[in-house]
Amino acid sequence: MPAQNLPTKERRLAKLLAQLAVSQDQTERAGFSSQLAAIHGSIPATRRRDFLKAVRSESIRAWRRQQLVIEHAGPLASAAADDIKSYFESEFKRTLRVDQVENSELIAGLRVRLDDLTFDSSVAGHLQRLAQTID
Amino acid sequence: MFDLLFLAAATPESTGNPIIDLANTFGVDWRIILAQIVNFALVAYLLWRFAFKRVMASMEERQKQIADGLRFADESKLQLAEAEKTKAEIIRAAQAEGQEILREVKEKAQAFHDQQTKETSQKVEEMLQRGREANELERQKMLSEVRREIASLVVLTSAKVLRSELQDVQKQRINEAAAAEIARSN
Repeated sequence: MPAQNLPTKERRLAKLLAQLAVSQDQTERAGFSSQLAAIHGSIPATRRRDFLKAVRSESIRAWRRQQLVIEHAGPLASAAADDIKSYFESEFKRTLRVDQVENSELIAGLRVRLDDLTFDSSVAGHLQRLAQTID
Repeated sequence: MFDLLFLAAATPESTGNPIIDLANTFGVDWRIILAQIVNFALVAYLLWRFAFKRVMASMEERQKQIADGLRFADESKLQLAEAEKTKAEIIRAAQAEGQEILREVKEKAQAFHDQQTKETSQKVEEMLQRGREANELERQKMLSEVRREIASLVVLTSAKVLRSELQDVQKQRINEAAAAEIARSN
């Protein structure tokens, strides 16, 4: 794990850079490259590679934390997706990015994933739970 | 006998004495007779002295032996009778003891038989109980499998029917309801 080889201060810097990288604010995102170049220059050469790896992994993690995946079967009104997004943003106190994925296996209904959490309100999910109840 | 005597007396050269005539007729000589008497006495004495005594002693000894034998035989008879009596008592005691042993053996055999029967009954009952429990488990397992299969079939059939029958409009309505449900449940 590259991040574990870094001092605490550099790990914190990597996290901040990652937040800039995945920020939905255009200005913040634009400042990422210059900030990375400045910080990268201040890091000793022996740890630069590990630092870049830490920035990359933190960026992926931050990207996933912001990703709200809405799986649906059949048409999904944009208003419904917006409602879900705003609900989760207010609930988890973070800005989210919605990815809509068509999944015919759901039959109808929605399945929403955020980080490790899954909210299944699809017909397939209901049927599956029904089967488990009978079993 | 008398005829012979008269015949002898009637022989010629009779002396008038019938006894002498008779002795003459038979050739009896008194000297010879005397000598024979002396000889007989001598032989008798010698026999008495050297043979008869020993024979008598031997006979007495034999008689004593015979008496001892008879007494021994009597004692043997008594001992035999005693032995017979003892034997009979021993046989009676042995029979009684045998009967007692036989009775004890019978009792022990009966007790063993009863115990074996009881243990066998218990084992059979345990086996039956285990069999019943195994059957019940098997039945429960089968029921569970059947239930699972039915549930799976119901889900598969329902999914298939819904997938083919649901229109986009209905799906959209369901999606909106699902969105509301997610927002409500959280």
